[in-house]
Amino acid sequence: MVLAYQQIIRSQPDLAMQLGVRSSLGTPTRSVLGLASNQLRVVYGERTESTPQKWLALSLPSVAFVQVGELSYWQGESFQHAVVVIGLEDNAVWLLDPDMDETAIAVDLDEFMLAWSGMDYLDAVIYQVGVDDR
Amino acid sequence: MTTTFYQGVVKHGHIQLPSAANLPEGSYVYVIVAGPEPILAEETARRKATRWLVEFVGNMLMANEGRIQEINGRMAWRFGVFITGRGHAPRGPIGYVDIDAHTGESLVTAQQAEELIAHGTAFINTLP
Repeated sequence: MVLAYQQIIRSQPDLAMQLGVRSSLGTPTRSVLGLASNQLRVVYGERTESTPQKWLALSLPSVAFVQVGELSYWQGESFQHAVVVIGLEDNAVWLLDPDMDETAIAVDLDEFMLAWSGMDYLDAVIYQVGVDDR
Repeated sequence: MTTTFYQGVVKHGHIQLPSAANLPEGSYVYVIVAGPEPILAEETARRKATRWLVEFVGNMLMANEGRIQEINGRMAWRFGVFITGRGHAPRGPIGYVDIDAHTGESLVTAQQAEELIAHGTAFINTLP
């Protein structure tokens, strides 16, 4: 989803194979590093609360790993998940959630931070080489 | 009944526990002498266990209730591994993950990680 958002087109089966997606077990988050190539850069790791702002200032969406139990739009579900952060306002974060439709979802900033902190503020950013030399 | 974990200190041959420790009469108690260094709280160790699972095995895996035990001469927290997912409570356990109780280091080998994947996949395949 984060690639498509940046108009980087990759087939889902190829991506799933490259990421080592395991049905029902999910994806090892670290495997995102395997997407790095001559065309793509990948930045992955544990961040701080101000990191999404930094990425977005560079027009980069990020993949945030979260506990959905803290996100009210999941209505009491409790599992580990990944969402794409595409916007920030004073008290809200705009997300794309691959388990929802393609409409951006506004989430209370505190809610998002709680959900993200539950996964030690892990995130990943993927961008095309030459778009920027960050 | 769940097992409750308290950390205390031995002084003059007696164990000093936090004043809030709840010790129901007649309960069985296991005493593990951990050495001169404090050990990680269960919640801290659980987060480290879940972090390791998420990074190296699958982002839908989590560590659940832990117990402390000696593993290859090291004090370790051992956590059951469960599969999280939409529309159901955590499922499992599909195996376990060990965290050094002093350093927080993961004690899981590559082979154990492969076993977790195999057991998890087999477990899911048994579900209706």
